[in-house]
Amino acid sequence: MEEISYSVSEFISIFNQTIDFAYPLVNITGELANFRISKNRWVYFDLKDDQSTLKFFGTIFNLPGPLEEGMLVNVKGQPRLHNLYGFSINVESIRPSGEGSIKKAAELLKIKLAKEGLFDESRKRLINYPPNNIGLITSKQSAAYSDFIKIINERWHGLSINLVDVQVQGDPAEEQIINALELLNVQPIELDAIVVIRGGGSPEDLAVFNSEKLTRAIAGSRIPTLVGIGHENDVSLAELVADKRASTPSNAAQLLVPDKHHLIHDLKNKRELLDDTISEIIENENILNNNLVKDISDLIENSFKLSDLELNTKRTIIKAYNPQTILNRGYSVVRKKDGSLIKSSSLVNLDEIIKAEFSSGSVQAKVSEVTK
Amino acid sequence: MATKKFRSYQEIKLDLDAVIQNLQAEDIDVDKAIKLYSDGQKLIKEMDDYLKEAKNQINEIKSSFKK
Repeated sequence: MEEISYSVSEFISIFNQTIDFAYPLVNITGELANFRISKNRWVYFDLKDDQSTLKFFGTIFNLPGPLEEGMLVNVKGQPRLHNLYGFSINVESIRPSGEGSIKKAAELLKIKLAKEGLFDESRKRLINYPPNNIGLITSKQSAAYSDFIKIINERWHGLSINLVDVQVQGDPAEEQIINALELLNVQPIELDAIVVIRGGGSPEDLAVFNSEKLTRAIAGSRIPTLVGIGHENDVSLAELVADKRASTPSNAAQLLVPDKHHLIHDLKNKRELLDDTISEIIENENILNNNLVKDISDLIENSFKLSDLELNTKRTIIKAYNPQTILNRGYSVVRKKDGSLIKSSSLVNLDEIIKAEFSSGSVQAKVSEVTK
Repeated sequence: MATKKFRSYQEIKLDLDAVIQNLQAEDIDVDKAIKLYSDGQKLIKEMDDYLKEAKNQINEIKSSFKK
């Protein structure tokens, strides 16, 4: 067999073609070491295990968030032999691997984003309650989706739900969810909220909801967000950054809309209370009115009584001055012929005809003596 | 005068008071007393009628309330 001699460049070229054909993409898990970032753009690190070390090269855009040496990470990339720097793996994606590393990575990212104020309460916006239109980002096949829809329908009517069906785990999940957020943010119909839900799963399954890109995308949503991931105890960065956090997908539905049964019950109670209150007010007014009518009646009665009493007094007085009463006592009225009263004997002459009126009847008489 | 001028109860009462005052004068002669007595009786009748009419009106108003 004839030995083929290559130039260095030829060998590198052939080697890369062969490797590319045999291993277009490799998936390697190892402990992170010698991690450094150059010019705020290029990323260099090694992955190692008990016996070996392998070099990696990438950009900061490949990073899932802050990383720390010693973490177990899973890297996807293409093997390459560089004409100057030797063999390395060109990084396509890096994910923390194993519960400890995933947790650690999330903690580091949480500290970083907290410093930026992304979790601040002052950033939280209110979601219209109850909303009319919402965007829903989840997997249509998931139990989370059916739980959410079931509870919404039990509690409320007329909520319009714009579903964007996405993968909620695995490599495509991050990009699909971010695209869905962007899509829903530019809907022609203004949405009241964007809801992101996913059921429970392993730390690896839920890892996407701790990614920096997705967390930032949720923080950047123009429309208020409600995020419910996993079970009660799973708290992801996506939830922390959302305007409202739900503990589970079912809880998201409960937070989003009121329970119509409670509202109807409340309304019934309020109507009864209103009826009672109105009846009471009318009854009280009636009593008050009747009292007023009675008071006025009494006042008028009293006024009449007083008037009657006064009139009777005056009647008695007038009666007492009845001239007839005086005549009844034996007094009489004496007049001249022309009818004028004779109040003194000096007004009468001897032999003058005068008239005397008694209590009953009268006489004419001739004066036979005048005593002055 | 063709039309009878409306007089309030109070006005009639003042007239009656004047009649009583005049009747009580010591130097009043019997003819004047007879005239005043007759005027007083008329005024008392007028006031009596006035009160009866007023009571009737009040009773009408009361019964309209009870409907």
